[in-house]
Amino acid sequence: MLRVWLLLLGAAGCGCALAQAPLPLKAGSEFQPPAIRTLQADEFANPAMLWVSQGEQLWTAPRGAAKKSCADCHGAAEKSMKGVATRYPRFAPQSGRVLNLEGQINICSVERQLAPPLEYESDPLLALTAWVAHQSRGMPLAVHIDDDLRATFDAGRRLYNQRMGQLNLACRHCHQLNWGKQLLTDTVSQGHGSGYPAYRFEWQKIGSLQRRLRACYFGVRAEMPEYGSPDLLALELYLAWRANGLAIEAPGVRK
Amino acid sequence: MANARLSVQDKATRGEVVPVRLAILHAMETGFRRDIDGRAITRNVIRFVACRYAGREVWRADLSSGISANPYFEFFFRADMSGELELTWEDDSMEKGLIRARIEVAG
Amino acid sequence: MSPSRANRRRALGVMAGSALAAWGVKISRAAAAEADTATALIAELIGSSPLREGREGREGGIRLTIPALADTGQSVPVTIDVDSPMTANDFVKNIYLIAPRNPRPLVASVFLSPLSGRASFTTRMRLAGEQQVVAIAIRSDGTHCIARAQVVVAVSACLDGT
Repeated sequence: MLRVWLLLLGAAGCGCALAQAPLPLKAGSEFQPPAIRTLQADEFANPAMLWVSQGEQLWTAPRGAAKKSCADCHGAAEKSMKGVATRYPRFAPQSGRVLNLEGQINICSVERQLAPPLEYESDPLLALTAWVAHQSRGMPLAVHIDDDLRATFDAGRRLYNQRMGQLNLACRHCHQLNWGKQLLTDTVSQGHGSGYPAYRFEWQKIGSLQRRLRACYFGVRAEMPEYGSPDLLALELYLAWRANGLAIEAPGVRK
Repeated sequence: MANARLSVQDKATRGEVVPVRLAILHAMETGFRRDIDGRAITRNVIRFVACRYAGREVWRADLSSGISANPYFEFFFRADMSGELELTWEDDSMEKGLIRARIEVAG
Repeated sequence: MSPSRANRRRALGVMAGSALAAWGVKISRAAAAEADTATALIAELIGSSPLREGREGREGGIRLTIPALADTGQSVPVTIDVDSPMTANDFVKNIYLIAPRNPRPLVASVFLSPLSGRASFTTRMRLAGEQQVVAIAIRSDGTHCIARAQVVVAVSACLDGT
């Protein structure tokens, strides 16, 4: 009995509590002002939809030495991509690594279209990611951590709980322990990525989840990991798991 | 590649005042921002947007850098004949944009 | 306190005070310059046209809809509605949107005709800080209407270096 109590105390003390997801689970849009929530829901006026439209066009555009379009293999995205974004990041056995949506799109670009990979934050990659993610809008995230994902998941959880930067803060200090509180006129969110890629007014364009994570690193005056780095990918995986059950809002609109 | 979205109903009755919504993908670079090396980024702003309906200009707006990036507009026109709605715009770098829709007017 | 120390303190105080005063004068001069540019711009746009029915805002037939607190200065939704039958004899010719404290105060000039059907214009604008946004409409009968709205602009809590 004493051992059980000590174990529980230990677990609580080291911050790696058994319940990692905040309760109740709240989507990022719930922490945005009403005008921005309305804009996100407006399928026409949502500025990110400009990139979704571009993605729709790119989907059927032949590319690379193979002169293949996404549609040539995947057919209509409305059918084949429905639900796909709810399962990412995932482990791809063919490439032997963990992939987010951007990574998967680039596997297709390089190996199927025989074209160069698309750069992070380039309009084509943003457009395709937004187009694919949009097909799962409203569907709940369902990322299952199996053996192949375990190491990346643990790395992500460690990073989430690790203090960093001049401000010496971990992600959890804001998004697990203080969500709902005010920072100037911003309300601290729970830190889910289910709204990404999102149009952020700060950026005056759409951006990936990795860009948003880099912005957080900058916010606590920490060195930002490079796009596509293992740290950012691990965090993406951990965040997706943490948001399991939340509906995908992509493409979101954020301040 | 389309860099704009246009929303307008495809049917109207004669005399009906029809709403138009337009969104354009454009950075509306103000010319005040600086790049990582401190150099000013050249201004490139959409200077005007115009709407022609069945060959006549029904709406036009001259813009400045005070319009947000990825500009968005809502305006109206009075439907009096079936025809094409044509939205055009031009920016500081002389790039032109165009998007069209057709409207059928009954009565 | 020794007399010399007191004197030095007073001298320092006077210097600091006059520096602050000079800075204050500089700020208010800059603000005055901004206001002058905006006033001149508004005067130029209105020209010699009389104010419609001698009234401003809703009573004069123009409504400026803009949030009192903007979530971001990058994109503030704004709508200008002007009451008008938009017939050949009575229509709104122009709508102007002005942000006096922006580096380029004239944000948009809209040109209308009876074919426009309704004198209503919606867009998203940039605001360089808190200011009183102005909307002006010029009618075919030679009158103008004007509406103003004060907008406070929120700033992001965290810096974003991406």
